[in-house]
Amino acid sequence: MTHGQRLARFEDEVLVNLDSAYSLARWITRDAGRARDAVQDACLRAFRAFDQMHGPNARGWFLAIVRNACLDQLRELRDHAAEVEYDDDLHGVAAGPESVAALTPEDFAERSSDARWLHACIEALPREYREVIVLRELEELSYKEISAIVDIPIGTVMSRLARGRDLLQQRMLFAHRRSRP
Amino acid sequence: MNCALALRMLNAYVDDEVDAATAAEMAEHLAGCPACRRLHEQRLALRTALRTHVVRETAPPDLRKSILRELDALARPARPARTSRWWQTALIGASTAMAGALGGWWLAQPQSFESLPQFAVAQHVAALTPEGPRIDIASSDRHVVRPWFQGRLEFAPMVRDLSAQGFDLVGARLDRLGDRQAVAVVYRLRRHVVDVFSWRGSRDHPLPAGDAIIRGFNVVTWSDGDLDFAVVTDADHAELERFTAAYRAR
Repeated sequence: MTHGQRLARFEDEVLVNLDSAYSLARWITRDAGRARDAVQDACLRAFRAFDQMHGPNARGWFLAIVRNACLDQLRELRDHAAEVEYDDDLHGVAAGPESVAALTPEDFAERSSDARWLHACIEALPREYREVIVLRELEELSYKEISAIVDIPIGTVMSRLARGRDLLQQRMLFAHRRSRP
Repeated sequence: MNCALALRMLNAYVDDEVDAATAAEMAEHLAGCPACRRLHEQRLALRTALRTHVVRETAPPDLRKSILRELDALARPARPARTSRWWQTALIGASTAMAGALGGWWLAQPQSFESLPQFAVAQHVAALTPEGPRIDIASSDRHVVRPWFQGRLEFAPMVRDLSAQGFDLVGARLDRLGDRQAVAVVYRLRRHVVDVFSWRGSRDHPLPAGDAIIRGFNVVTWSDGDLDFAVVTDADHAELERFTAAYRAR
């Protein structure tokens, strides 16, 4: 295969997912410039490894590479500023869903239509929850696909989604209450 | 099904990731348990909010282009190191001049000021090697970089410490823009290389201040006293402006 043919195939199978890739990178890195760098870096890695890609799920394969490129970016950043490492046991023991029961559907509907505020609530989540929520709710991927991209067991996908949604609802409730006089 | 199990299955149920039998049991439990039903409704409301109101970012329009440019460059053999530099410089300088629609005309003319930014871009590209940008004096200390040029250059290059702004000083190299001796002070922003070219200009014909995109690179030019400056980078325009403002700040 010539370079040109390879590039054309790469465009058809991988680069069609550029929006998904950029969106994921944006959510993980929380910065437009870094998201751009990560996606560009991921494309180079993906292109070099393109011959080893098997199976029909080019999107999942590509997103896994994008995610890794994002983590490398964040690691580079961490060299300058220390960031707390995530620990499932340590961070996973927040309050259960019972504590959000006080949020009435009306309150929720009122606040949740504020896109910028909603955006900020997701951005404030720890990265491990943020990424599974974005992959599930915005990219609409299955547990199996998310498990392959994030490289965690399906059971962990489920528990992180549950915890992430609890945290998100708590944040929304907290911000809501605080906004009241 | 009891509440504890229902709570454990709630997310998988909402996500359609349970088998048909479990789904039926869940539905039955929710119908008879107001507390669990409420949590289920909250989950659905959260999903609706996310999918309705959170705008999915799309890739910036020029990102695809710059990726394709980079992938395309992979097909070309790596640039040999410095031994062949002078003819490459000549070749790239010449082809840039041609590309700039100057044709052979420029050979017979006094140096055109407009073509200098194009030379700068050509030199920026020529200095990019797989190991990083070509450097004569590698140091992140401006008090090491600046004195190195004494006796090698007819003017003292401006070297600033911009690490607080995120731009790390990599070093500097002697360079040429057309027939002019120049210096390139090299910074790095994440994966981007930022070259600041400066050379002795002409007070009568100062380099016009401006910015442009040349061969896909962002370029900013200005003139300061008897020195002319051109900054070339593949970082985006906003970052370049931030860099230029910091570099020029007194």
